Amino acid sequence: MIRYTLRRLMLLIITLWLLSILAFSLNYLFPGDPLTNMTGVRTSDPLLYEQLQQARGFDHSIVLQYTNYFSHIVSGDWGQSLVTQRPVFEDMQVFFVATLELSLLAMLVAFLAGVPLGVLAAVRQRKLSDRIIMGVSLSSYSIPVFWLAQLFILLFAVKLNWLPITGQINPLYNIDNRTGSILLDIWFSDTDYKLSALRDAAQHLVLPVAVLAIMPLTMLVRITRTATLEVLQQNYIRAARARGLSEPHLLWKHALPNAMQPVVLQLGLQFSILITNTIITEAIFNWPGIGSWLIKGIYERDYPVIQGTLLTLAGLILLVNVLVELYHAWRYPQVRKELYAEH
Amino acid sequence: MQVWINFQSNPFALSALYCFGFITLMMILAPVLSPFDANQQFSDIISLPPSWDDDGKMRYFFGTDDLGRDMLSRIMHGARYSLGYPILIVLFAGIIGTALGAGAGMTRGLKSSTLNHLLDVLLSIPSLLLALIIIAILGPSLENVVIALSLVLIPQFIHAVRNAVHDEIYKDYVVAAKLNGCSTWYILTRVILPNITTVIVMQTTLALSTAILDIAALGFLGLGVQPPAPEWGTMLARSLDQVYLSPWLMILPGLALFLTVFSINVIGDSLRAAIQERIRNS
Repeated sequence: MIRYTLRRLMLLIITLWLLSILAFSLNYLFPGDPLTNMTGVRTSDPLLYEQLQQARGFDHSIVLQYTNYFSHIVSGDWGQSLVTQRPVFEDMQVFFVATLELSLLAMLVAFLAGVPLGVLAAVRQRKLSDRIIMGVSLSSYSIPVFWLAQLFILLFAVKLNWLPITGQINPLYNIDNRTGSILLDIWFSDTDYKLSALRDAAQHLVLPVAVLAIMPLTMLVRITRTATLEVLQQNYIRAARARGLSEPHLLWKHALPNAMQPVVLQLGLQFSILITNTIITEAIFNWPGIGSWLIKGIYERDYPVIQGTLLTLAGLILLVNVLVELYHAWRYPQVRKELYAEH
Repeated sequence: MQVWINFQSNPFALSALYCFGFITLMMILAPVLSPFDANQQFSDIISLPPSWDDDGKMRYFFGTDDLGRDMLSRIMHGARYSLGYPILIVLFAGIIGTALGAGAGMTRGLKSSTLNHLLDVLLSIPSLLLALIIIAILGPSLENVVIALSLVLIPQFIHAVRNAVHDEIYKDYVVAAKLNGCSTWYILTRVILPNITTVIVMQTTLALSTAILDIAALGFLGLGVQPPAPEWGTMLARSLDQVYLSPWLMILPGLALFLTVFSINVIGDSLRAAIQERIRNS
């Protein structure tokens, strides 16, 4: 396991390094001045610009520029936004937590609902409930996420008026945005209406989380169903059944733990799909996260922000993938053996 | 042939195929069939509901939008952007990606594993995020969206084909062909390629639905096809302000998008099942 962990971590570091090269080269690919794209300081401020030109090694070779850039990225100096003139890295932390709150909640919902539904479909294979679950999951897998968001808004917010349309919370509550996560903010605030504020925030969360959860949920249903069906055909299940174990016990103790193996491996992939959808969903629901910030950055040609969001989102996806793989290898040693045999 | 028989025996697959064929036909015949031009405005008939509504008119079958443009014509013409361009993109990316992937699969050693790691980095970034970054470099327009999506899809093809070739190349039948003295080109095209068609077909349908969804998402975000072009995603973005008064502006283009992606996904799924069935039977 140690060997495997080291290998994966080594690979993660190399990938992150390659990512930083990609981000660095973007400074030259974006229209405009590379130094401005990198730091957010415009040429209209000649004094500061010249200072930075020397500090960032722009009078030297490109290799030196890159090492300089890399050390700045690592130390948390990601330049400043071209529009607001605020440091990107500081703003990023708040937006990052907001995005993380949304995506983790969606992933949790997808996991908690998708796995049981998948098992149910597998147990009742070829019966009505199986067909309904599979049919719904196949069709909702094809719904474009922005249309789904619009449909939900039309149905639940406009027609039925159950839920608010956009935003994180009703501005009347006047909650200071400190961590980025609205639930945590309310928890740590000293407002007198904590409970009603929490309820209001939860109502704002329902629609975006539901929209985001649908896609990974349907994928998890399909994967869980296939995996469970495969496990149920194994000999050890038949043997357990022959020994007279009850069906729920068999499913819960013998089938499910083994069926979870491919499901766990899928979580990483699902997370990157989820992040794609988060970008769109945040833009629709006005959620102040990284996704809507990236879109705004592209509209406003705010290159330091675009670069920062790319680094954060890609880094997050890579990290989650490695963590999932490590957990997978730790939880299911038989996979580890296969991995060793291959190399 | 066997695949087609298997495919045909599945009613869902067949209806999905008909649905896809119908949409494609509409797209090709849009200039002939559509009642009006996509951007023709009828300023006296604004926000007319679809014909099945009490206030609707048969002449404007799907109603009109807030500028008095006929929705049916717009959706038919829009298929060219939302389905036609993705097909072109996937064909282009597929040919280049398959060629490069096959080449990469035949090589071994450090060069090949470096490429693999590079592709892993590139593929770990979601396709839409990568397309957004490329759009940020090039600026939003139809041509740039086509370039961006092709660039995004090529690595996916390379990765899939490379892995498939890599899996086959050590199998006995390939080794036998090699021992027979066949040239590398012959081994690649006549020995390996027929055995990885499943992978290529699957990757193509997957790439097609990705391309359709991404082009619509970019249009929706205002970073892809620019209005007044009747692209479905762009139409959806416009409908956001009108959803109170005229919900059909949002439902109809979305439905078209959904049906297209859905039929492609069902075709892809059933095709894989049919090919697997054939492999199992043979």
